[in-house]
Amino acid sequence: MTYQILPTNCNGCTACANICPAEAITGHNKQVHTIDPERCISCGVCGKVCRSEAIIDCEGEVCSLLLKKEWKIPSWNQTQCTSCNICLYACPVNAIEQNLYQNTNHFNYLLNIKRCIGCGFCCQVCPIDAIIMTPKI
Amino acid sequence: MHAVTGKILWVDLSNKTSYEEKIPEELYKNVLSGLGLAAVILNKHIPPNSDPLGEDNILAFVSGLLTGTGSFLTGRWIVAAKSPLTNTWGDANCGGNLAPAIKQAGYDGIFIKGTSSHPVYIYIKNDQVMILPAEEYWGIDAIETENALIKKYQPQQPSVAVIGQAGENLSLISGIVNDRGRMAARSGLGAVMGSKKLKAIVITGNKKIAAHSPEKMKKLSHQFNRYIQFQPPFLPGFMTGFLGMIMRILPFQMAIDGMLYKILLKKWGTVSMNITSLEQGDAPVKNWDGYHGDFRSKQNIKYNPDRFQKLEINKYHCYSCPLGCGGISKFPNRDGETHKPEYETVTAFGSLLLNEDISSIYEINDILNRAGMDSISAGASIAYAYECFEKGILSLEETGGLNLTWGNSQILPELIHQMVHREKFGAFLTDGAKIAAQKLGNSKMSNPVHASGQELAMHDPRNDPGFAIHAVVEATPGRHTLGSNLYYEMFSLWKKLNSYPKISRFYHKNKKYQSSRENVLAAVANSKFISLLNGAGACLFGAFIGVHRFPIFEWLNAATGWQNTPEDYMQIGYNIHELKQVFNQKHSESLIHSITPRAIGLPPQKKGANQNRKVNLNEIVPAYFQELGWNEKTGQPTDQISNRIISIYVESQDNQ
Repeated sequence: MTYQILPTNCNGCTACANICPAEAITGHNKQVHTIDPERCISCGVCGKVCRSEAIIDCEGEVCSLLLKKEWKIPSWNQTQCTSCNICLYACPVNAIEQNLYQNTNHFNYLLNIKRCIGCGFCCQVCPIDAIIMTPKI
Repeated sequence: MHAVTGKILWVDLSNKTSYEEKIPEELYKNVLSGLGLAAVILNKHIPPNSDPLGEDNILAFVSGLLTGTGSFLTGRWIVAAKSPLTNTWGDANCGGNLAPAIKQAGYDGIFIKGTSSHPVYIYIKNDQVMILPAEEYWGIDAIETENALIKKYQPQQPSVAVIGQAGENLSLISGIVNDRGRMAARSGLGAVMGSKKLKAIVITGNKKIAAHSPEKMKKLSHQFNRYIQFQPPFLPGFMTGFLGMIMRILPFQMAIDGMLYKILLKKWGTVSMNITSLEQGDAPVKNWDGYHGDFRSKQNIKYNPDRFQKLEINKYHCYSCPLGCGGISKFPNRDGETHKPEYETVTAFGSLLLNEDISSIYEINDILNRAGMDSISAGASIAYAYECFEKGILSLEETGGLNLTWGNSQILPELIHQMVHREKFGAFLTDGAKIAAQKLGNSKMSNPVHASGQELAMHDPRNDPGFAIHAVVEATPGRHTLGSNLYYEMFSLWKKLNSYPKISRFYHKNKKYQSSRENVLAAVANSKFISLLNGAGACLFGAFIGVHRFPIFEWLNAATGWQNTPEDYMQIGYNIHELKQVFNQKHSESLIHSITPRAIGLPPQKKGANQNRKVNLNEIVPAYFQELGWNEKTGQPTDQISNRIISIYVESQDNQ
């Protein structure tokens, strides 16, 4: 099951539709929005930006608002990282970038913090757990 | 079902439409995804005797079953179609970054049919598919086109597969380029893309690929990564030649453990084999007529892998690869960056032409990457021309003033430019060595080295007869990535499958040349196992580390939730192998390919590592087919499991 919108709570503020990286949310301003389950990738960012508690997650729990500064961001353990690029392509918002030429052995992954939605996909897919999600500050 | 998306995308360039098609789970159970999926669908949809460069040919871009599931070294994308170079089944695979993009867009494969009347490119973003005009990119090289398309779609980071001018000009030795110079080069599939007037495919998506048991996947990857990271200090580069020399001189051979090759790959990449292969008799010299002594002293200094490493700016890793055998490199003589040349390119333009100039190799590698031309076939075709020039079959007048004397690297950039653009003398070599020889009227003095039209790669069957067997029996002739004696040693399949013969630690070299049952079983195992790897999207270099370390069977079970045994997976490998052969049954005159006698020691060499070595294929080829249960004389599969597998697909089509 993917994320869903509770029509009773949705006030049509469009915040979720604007931030959804999969373009899965549709709806006009001040009208009830809907999530296309075929497109939803369950990143959870809609739940984090909804001020009216209108979004329920995959387990059926109502998501609560989380300010952007409270979103966690990934942090790489550079000694463990194998530069396998798996996280780079798992990121739904292309927030991870290769930083070539830092040294001759490894890429470093720099995070474009403005783009990061704190979904944790990179952390989930890392085969050797070299990424942990940490608070921004 | 986990690990796959369960659907493919069809794009029809003739009427500019696209549609999705669901793939039943039963089909994945029989052929995995990747090459297996392509083999089923192309078998069904390409009509017999169709023109490879015509409207009926279908170009498939597929990603493997394990791609994106959390396994390592399983991010190769495969392109398949009927090959215009050999008129048989054609496929090529490549690392880079296209494989995850195909799956993240929501498909296991993209199948392109029809032809466009004008240049187009396909843009795919999740379920959104657009066929857009590409006039502005037509005629521009592959790397520039890729950069321009990535820039156009920023801030997305799309993956791009693109052809260069060689593919546009329908060169039969052209490939398809990805990630700025990685190439699915063999079988001439760039020409198929060019014939469809398809310049590029741009793919971006953000769908998640879920494994059945992510924890199990991680655990297996964790364990495997320990082998990858084990990297003790190794000999300096020039000593690798010494290793090759010992291997040449000793009458006995030590079975190679894949960990040794892994250490070399991680340190230097494939160029680690430059000198070792030459000394050992694996690298062909002077269009396969020379021996290591013709080039030895020069190559040991010039092509020392340390020299390549010094120019390396950074390691290059394909998707899901912790090994990183590639490299981003400087040019020796000028500013700029390029992919580090690979062993095949260095040998095809090094010892094969007696070329001592390392800077010319970097230039040529860059020109070929940009033009999208196969460096193996290009080098082999040029070597053929050099030999014709030496023998007086080609005159200076005929070559348009190009002095094709052995070792002359000055004319190579110009000659390749002519080949890519099908101009002047270069047009003679644009379609490979076999067609060039036909143009000359098949003079008895000329020796184009190929198997059924595809130039042999830079591994000498006289040193490892396995290469000759697979060059003639496989559905794609002349390939070096489909099996050899060395590969079997490194796969160590007997550690997981009791029925396969174990290779002893030391053995006499003569053993390799016998048509023994052990060698037949090894060849059959290679065919099945490598087909399985291509269904899973796995990298050969990963499998070289040995199946007891590279947990391909365990990953497949954890990704899908199946409970298959290694034997079951070898059966799946067989299914894919048979499907390719059944394709050839419909499309090719003969299922046993021809190979240039020179490459199998007819006549035998008089000097060097391969002195007096002959590869006798007359007994082992029928035995190979017999072991597979196929007709030993014709190579036709008898009890066709393929029909049942294709019918699973056909039934699912009828129900949609």
